[in-house]
This record gives sequence, structure tokens and C-alpha cells, in this order.
Amino acid sequence: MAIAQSQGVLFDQLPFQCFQEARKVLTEDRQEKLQQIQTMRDRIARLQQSDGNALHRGGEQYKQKRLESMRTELEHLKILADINDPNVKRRFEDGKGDMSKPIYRFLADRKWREYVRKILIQRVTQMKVVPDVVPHCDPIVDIKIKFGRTNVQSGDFVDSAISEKPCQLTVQSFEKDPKLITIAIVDPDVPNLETDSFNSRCHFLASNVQIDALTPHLDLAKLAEEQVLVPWLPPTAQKGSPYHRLSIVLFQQKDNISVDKAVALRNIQQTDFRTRSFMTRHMLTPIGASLFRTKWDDNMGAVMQRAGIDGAELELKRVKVQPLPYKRRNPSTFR
Amino acid sequence: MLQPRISARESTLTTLATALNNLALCSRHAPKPRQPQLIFTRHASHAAQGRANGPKDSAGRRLGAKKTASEYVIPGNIIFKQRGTKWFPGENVGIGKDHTIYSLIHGYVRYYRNPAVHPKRRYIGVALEREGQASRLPTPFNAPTRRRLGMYATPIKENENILSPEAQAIKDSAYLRGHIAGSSQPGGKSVPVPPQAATQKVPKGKLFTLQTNPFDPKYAPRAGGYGMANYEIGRAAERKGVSVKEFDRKDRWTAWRVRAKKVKEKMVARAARANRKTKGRKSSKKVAL
Repeated sequence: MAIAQSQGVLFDQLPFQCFQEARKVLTEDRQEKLQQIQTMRDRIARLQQSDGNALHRGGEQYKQKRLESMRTELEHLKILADINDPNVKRRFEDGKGDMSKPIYRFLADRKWREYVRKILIQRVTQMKVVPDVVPHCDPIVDIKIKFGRTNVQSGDFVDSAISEKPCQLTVQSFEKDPKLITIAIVDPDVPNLETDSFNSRCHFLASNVQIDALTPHLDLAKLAEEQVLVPWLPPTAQKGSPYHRLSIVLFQQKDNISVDKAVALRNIQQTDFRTRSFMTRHMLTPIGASLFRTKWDDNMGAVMQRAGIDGAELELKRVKVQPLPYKRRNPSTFR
Repeated sequence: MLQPRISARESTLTTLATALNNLALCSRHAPKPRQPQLIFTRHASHAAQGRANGPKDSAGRRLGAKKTASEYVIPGNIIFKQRGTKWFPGENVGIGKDHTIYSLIHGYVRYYRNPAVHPKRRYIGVALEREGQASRLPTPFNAPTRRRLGMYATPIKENENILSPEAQAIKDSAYLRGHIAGSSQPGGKSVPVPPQAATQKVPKGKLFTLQTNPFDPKYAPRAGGYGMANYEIGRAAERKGVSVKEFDRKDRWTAWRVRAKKVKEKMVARAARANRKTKGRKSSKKVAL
């Protein structure tokens, strides 16, 4: 309203006394912080050049640890310098924040954690993706699922005809450094009639995919041949079976070391994909999880046939539990 | 009322003396029978106090455990009846509005504690197996959930309840014949049901015309099927003079006849279906499991 009424006046020059006085204080604080940033940078440079062993009895290890904590402090100071700037706040809220700058990454991360991340964790824990597929997951990247043009919220049911083709993921990282990640799409609800239990089936597996804060879009159909370990298998569910959860888990590869495709393929089980053993073998940490669901629909039979999955002509029915032998208290003689 | 409280109050020295005396072998130092001191005391309220208004006591509510540990239960079985939550619901178990613990799956009852979740609470759960790894509750932290499929596979069948149009027409006309007045006696006069009846002659000046014949068995309402709405049927039945016997709950004879007819029709339909499948040969039914 203030901006609409006053044309030509810059946003931060608006003539409100309290606002301008506050701006003065904040500008002074910003100058202070910039000073602190400069001194910290100098200290880091000096420490890097010095000899670790001469410095402290802890030696090189101590020096590295100190450098680590000084760099964290530096990042923190950078955020503190810009957090009170009204222009920064305005630019972020308009969606024009530059993700290469730490302050906008920080603001995006904070906004994500306030609501969207909570919803994601709720969906993932309520649908039991966390204990069934992976033992734990602390999401640090945001995942959005899209099939062609349809946006899929986490936990939504997706028609089999739509999910026949691979999806597009928007993986938003809030850290500066690029990461090498592994994407696994696992269905832990495949019925196994012999064991009266469920099998886990891998619908997609790709590793050595690079993501960073500036390039969030990922089309699973367009990944390179060397990156894809298991090509896209359309999600299917037999008629009468309970719904299948298609869980999407993103793992960070330790120290960004590439996963060897040959080694990985040798150990992947065809019938029952064990996510936990895959995780431990290649030293992966879950950094994001989401899911969508699928159940029998009219197109499923055709999709199963095309994908070469058996069981399209079978229907699953519940085995009736035999009632316990009680003496009936209302035989016909009672009436 | 003062009640006497019989007590032998002694000091420590006298207790020591009595103890030593009891050990004595000499008759002179034999323990003398002591006279009990009668001390009269009075308490504020009595155990036998009654209640002024309302019930003095009520019958027992039969609370407590209904299924013990390792007992086999099926879904719905009540395991524990309680006031409040003396026991909390654990795995594969539900809790009712009066805190009744009941089973959700078939399995074996387990009473346990889970300090990882709550340090003091006691839980009742149902395990899938009687012995072994899957029989121990609570399940380890962040282990995949143990669950049973509990299903069997059968080939998908097309809907059997849909009959061919001719068969359905026969069934509907039989139904109408059985329910329209004057046909409860065997061989009674039946209302003719014309398959292609002419539409009703609509007198001039009427608001709308009835396009379809309400007596056409095609439009008879069936269970789960579409029937003509009353505004469509209008007063066709009244005009035609159709009167339907009113349902009499006390007339068990008619009720039995209707029921017996249905049973017979069902058996005939089943035989016809089986016959149709095996093309006239005897059917050997294999139940898919």
C-alpha cells in the first residue's frame, strides 16, 4: 500500500521515521558484521599458511578442526550481515532470490523447514517408508515429484498410465557445494504368496547424479547410461492387493565418491531388493525421501503386460480368519 | 462406640527380660502368663460405615485380562478390560473408547514394556508368531514392520450376477407374477406382462406423456439396478387397477413360499451357470486357493 501510494520512492527510502531509524541501526550493525567477516577471512588465511605442528600439540588435526569451525563461523557471519536487510527479505519473498548467495539459501531452507519439510516427514513416517525402506532419514533436500505435466504431492495415488513413463524430480539443495547423489525408487509392498509376506522391488536406481542449489531439476528419463543402474519399471499393483507405496529415497554418496556400476549391479537382487544392504555396501546416507502410491485401476492390466510383469489376470482376496471355537449362546432352541 | 484394642505394651528392657525368660529351663524363671492390657480406643469412622444415598456397592464389572500371554487371538478379540489405561495399546492392537484393548490381527498376545518409547508404561501387543524372532515384542527400533499378507490369488472373473437380457426378462416377469394380487394360489390368474406393450394412450391436455411402459419387465427395479422413478411411472398402476398384496409379517406361509421360490431359482441359476461353463458336461469345480 505504501509503495503503491508513493511512486518513484525506493522501498527502503520510505519516509516512516521508525523504519528509517531502525534502518540506521541495522546499517551500522551490518558494517560491524562486514568488519568481522574480513577479520575472520584474514585469520583463516593466516591459519592455513601456518604450520600445524608448531602451533599446538594437536598438530595438523587440530589445525584442520579449527579451520573447519572458523569457516562455519564465517558462513554464520555472512548470514547475520544480510538477514536484517529489508531489500533482501523483499527479493526473497518475491521469488527473485539468487540461490548462489548464502543468505537466500538460508532463507529458503528456513521457509522449507517451517512447513513443507514437516509435511514430508509426516507423510514418510505415517506411511512407514522410514522403518520399512530405510532405517532413518533426516531430510536436507526438498523433493517434488512431477509426471509429465501433473504435479504429484507426496503420498498421492498415481494412475498407472501416467506413471508408466519416468518422472521428473525437483531436488532442491540448500548447500553451496555440489553433491553426488543416488536415487532409488523402491516398492516394499509386492505381495509374496509363498512366504505370506511382502517383497521389495526396485523400480529405478541411478547413482553419481550431481545436484546443487542452482540446478534442482532432474529428469529421470534423461540421465546418462552410466548413471542408471536399474532402468524405469512402471509401478504396478495386483487387483485386490493393498496399495503399494513407491518410495523415492535420495542418498548422498560419502565424500562424493562415485559408485562403481559393475560392483553395484553384481550385488543387486532381482526378486527382493534390500535397500539397507545397498546403503551400507556403498556407504550412502539418506538425505531426502518422498513417496507416491499406486493401486489397481483399469489401465493396470495393459501396463503390466507391456512391462512384462506377471499377475495381471490374478485377483487377491483376503484369507478369512477362522473364528475361535466358542459355544454359541443363541442356538435355535433358545428362541 | 469405644472398642477395646488389646495390646501388650512393653519397654525394650522388659522385652529383653521376657526373651531371656522364655529361654529359661528353671521352673522358677518360667514365663508367667501375662495379663493383656486392655486399652480402649475410638476411631473417627468405621469400616462398616454405610452410604446414605445411592447404591451401597454394585456388582463386579468383570474387568481384567481376558486373554493371557501367548494365547492365540483373532481380529476383534478383547484382550484386556480396564478402567483407564492400566495397560497401553502396543503393536497390532487397538483401544476402545472405554480403554478396552482388542486385537487387530490374528496372532499371539504379548505383555511387555518398551523403555525406548516410555519408561514406565506397560503395553499389550499381538505378535505374528508363537516362537522365534517375530514373536518378541517390542520390535527393534527402526526395524521394518512385521506384517502378514493374508491373501490368496484367484483368477479375475467377470461379473456373474449379470444375466442375459432374455433370462433377465423371464426372471422379472416371474417376479411380477408372484407379487401381483390374485396369484398366490397355484395356477392363479396372472397379470399378462406384454413384452412389447403399446404405450399408454395419453388423453389430450396432459402435462407429459409416458414414453415407456412401466409394466415392461425391463424397467422393474432390481437390487442394485436402475428402476423407473415414481414421477415417470406416475399413476399408471392406479389407472390400470393393479393392486399388490400388502405385506403381512404374520403371514409366514406366504413368506415361506417366496423364500422357497428364491432358493429354487438360485439353485436353478447356479446349475445353469455351471452347465453353461462346461458346455453341457458335468462341471468339476476346483476352488482356487
